[in-house]
Amino acid sequence: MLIQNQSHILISLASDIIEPHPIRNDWEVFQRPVVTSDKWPQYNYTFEGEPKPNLYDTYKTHWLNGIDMWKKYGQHALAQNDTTVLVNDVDFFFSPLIDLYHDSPPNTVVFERLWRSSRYSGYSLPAHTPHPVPDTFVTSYSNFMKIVSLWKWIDSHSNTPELLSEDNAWLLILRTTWKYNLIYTSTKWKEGPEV
Amino acid sequence: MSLGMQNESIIDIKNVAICMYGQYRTGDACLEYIKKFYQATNVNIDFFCSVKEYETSYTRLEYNKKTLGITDHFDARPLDNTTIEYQSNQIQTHYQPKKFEVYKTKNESVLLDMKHSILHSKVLMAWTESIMLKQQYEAENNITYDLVIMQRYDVIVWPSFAFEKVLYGIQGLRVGDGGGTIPTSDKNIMFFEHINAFRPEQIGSFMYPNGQDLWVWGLGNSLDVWVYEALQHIPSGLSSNYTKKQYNYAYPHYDTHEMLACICNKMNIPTSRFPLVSEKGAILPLQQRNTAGFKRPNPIVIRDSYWEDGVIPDLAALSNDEIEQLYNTRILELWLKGI
Repeated sequence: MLIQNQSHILISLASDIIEPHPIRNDWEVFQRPVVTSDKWPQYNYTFEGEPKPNLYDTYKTHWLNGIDMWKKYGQHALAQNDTTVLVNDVDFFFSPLIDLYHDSPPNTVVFERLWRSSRYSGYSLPAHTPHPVPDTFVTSYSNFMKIVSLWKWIDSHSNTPELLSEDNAWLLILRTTWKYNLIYTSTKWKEGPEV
Repeated sequence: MSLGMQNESIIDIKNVAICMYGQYRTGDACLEYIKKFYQATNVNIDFFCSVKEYETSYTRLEYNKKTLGITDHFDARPLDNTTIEYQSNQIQTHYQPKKFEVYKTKNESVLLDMKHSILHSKVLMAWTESIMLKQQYEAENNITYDLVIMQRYDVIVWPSFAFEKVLYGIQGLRVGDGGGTIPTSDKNIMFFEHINAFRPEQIGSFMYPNGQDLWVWGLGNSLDVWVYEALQHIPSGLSSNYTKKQYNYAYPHYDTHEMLACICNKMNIPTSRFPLVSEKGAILPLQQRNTAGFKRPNPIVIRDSYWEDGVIPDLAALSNDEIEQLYNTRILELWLKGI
């Protein structure tokens, strides 16, 4: 197996909360408040009873952070899998995710949590389709931008919104990883939210 | 229930980004044609321009040997500051790009010993730079472009109405409907031509993935995603497991044509050939219509050696028939000879 040799780590945070005592202060942070679009309410979601920001807005915020990373570092610093991006809303203890990522093939996205599918997602339980919880993940810059740019894919349907009317955040992140041929795994597995 | 109606998605193009990239070369001779070519009503058209600070001519082996005395066709000839300044001024004056830059190539020069792989990777770097200029502008202005087109400074597309007719041909297209449209459920499509259904120099390559990279359209986010994946094939400026040797061996694509199609395949980006065009309009690939008088859009690299006196005429003043005749009687033959 190809073991990655990471040499550059950047953090993308989507929040206006500035941690007074950051967990890791030797990795550069790109942060901005979550944009509020009031668009695509089907991508609002909750996890373990906690309401999350709309996934469209959250990922657009991370995409803007990603453009800032590009402006600062350019393509050769962000090429291949040499720059790892850590993604969350606020500062977070990423080390277990990074360790797993470093032991994984280059095309991997390590989400902080997966949950097994249920009736909620429209997939049958026997498939055991693991659903990524989209808030927190670690991957290369290349894969980070593929994932967070899905807000643009959503916007491409702005003149045919009925096409996405039955969609939700869980299916969207699952489809996106499949579409872009991304491997995903996690350090934590849980049962899905109750319907 | 109608399967088509439920899955239909309508193409609606309001903002078009022309992403220009690569070396300027015969850009002076092409710019009036290109400017005229990209005129269309009812859409906003913006240019984004990245230009390289050197010249090469990989596909002109005979020309390199006879005219320049160069036998190593990987050899890049740096431009002097006056030339770079002149080219930059021409680009900014004529195309008035929303963003412009001279692409710094220091990362290329340390990897020149990679030979074959670096050649194709250089094209990727130029595409990436240009499309990321567009994305920076989108981020700064909170807009998105519905259509992105890759265009070289030294290439014209024939016939002169191809852009307008293809654009109007796909405008309002119902993607996902069964008949007469493009059968895909994802409207974020890319358009390009094939080099060939098979590579004539390689036996058994029928259906081998390849695309003509001289003129490429990407709807929605398709070219953005394409570029994010292309980053995997660009030399890293950081130390990594991808040493020069490993990278050279690991480069997965035969050439830029295969690269274009393979990245689309890996990212599951739907692709299509361009519609046929005439003054009357466009015919989409699966439409059943009389194709008499319709042409397939064809990008043409413009070189001064195609004219006996070495002087390129005013291309914008040439008729489509004149350009077609020139291509058939002279350009194609000289291209194949590496001149």
